[in-house]
Amino acid sequence: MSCCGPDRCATCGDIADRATIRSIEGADAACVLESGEEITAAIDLVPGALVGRVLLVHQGVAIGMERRSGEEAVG
Amino acid sequence: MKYVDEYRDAETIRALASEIARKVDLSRVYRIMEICGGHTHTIFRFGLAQLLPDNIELIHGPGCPVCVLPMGRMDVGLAMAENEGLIFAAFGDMMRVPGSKGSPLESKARGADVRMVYSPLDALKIAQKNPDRHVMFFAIGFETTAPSTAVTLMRAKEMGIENFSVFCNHILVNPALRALLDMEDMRLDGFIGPGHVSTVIGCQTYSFIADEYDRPVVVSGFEPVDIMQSISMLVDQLNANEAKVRNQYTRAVSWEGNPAAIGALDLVFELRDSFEWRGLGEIPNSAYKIREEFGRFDAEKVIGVHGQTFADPVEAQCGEVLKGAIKPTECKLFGKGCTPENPVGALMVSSEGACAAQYKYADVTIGVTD
Repeated sequence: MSCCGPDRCATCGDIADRATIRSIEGADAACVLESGEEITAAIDLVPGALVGRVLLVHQGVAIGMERRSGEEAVG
Repeated sequence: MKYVDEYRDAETIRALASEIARKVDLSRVYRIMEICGGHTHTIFRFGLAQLLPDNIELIHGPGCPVCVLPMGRMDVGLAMAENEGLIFAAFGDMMRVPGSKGSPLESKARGADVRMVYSPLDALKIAQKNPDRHVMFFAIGFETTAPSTAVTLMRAKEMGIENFSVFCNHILVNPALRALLDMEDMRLDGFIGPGHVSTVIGCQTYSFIADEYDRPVVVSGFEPVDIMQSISMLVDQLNANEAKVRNQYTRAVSWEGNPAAIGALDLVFELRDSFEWRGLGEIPNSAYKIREEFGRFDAEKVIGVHGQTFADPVEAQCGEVLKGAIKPTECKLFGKGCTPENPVGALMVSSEGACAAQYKYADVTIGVTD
């Protein structure tokens, strides 16, 4: 996983990757990106994280969780 | 990739463009600033500006933290990197950013131990693996990125790590917007609000723009359909003489933001009295510093600031571009003395900078799927 490339600067671009949680161990979640790439994300800041939920991951840390229909985003 | 296709569909983009064209008031101009570098990038990459009526002007904002970092801060960071035995860790975004004596990559070529990391947590792991050396992470970014630094310092403290510090250059969106809004020749009518910054700090934080400055804000996602919808929502408000904060990016942003992330920021950081921005100058309370409780991880205290710093070049007209007074191509250095390969001005530094994006995507003519 790279933070940047010729067409991407995660910090400047305010980019957060959508990552689906596969498993959780302590404060870290094993996730898979839409591209199929597997990453580990810190979930310290998303207390409601559960397997199957979609995280918004920025620089290795989940900053929020995508809304499911009928509920508020994040939290 | 269903998710991406849905928000990049050319037919939907063109339908939104037609809808906007139908409802604009041709007797006026709509000057809309997209705050985020990510929005700027999407606008250029998909040629969205060319799909809009001529009386909608998109002005590219200060939302690229690498672009607005003053050269002097890079000089300080690189001076620290030259300490014997120190490992300098930073995001890849930073590697080509020039200080007055070159970039981190050039420092590496001169012998400094410079390492690119994906996350500050990776820098912390390097510290754990190298207990006899000090690791300094060059932290940069808005409220989207600051939580990752906060989590890293919370974990470092909990683990009792002794050989790790952070050179903190985290900045805040709202003070910069207030500085822009306070400028005498400010010509902006409304704002496309940042997406993932708002995942952290929420929509409510922009209420001052509507209440005090009478300008509408629509928080937007990053795909072309998101941005076209947001422009449409802004046109509706401006036509109705309304100034409210609206949320287009409801799948990722709530009104209040993420309380756990905001709590982590409050725990680890406090506001600096003032911080310098390239192109905008000193802005009060516009950046974070590390709180005393985490002071043993503050590189400015642990390592100290050495070396001479240099002011930014004055020839570039970044401030004028940021205010919407001129377009990137109207800067006298654009494409001549200032290019992505050899950036002089702040906005040419990162691929998300307004000038760099304009330079790269100048030939894009229509919003298309990718």
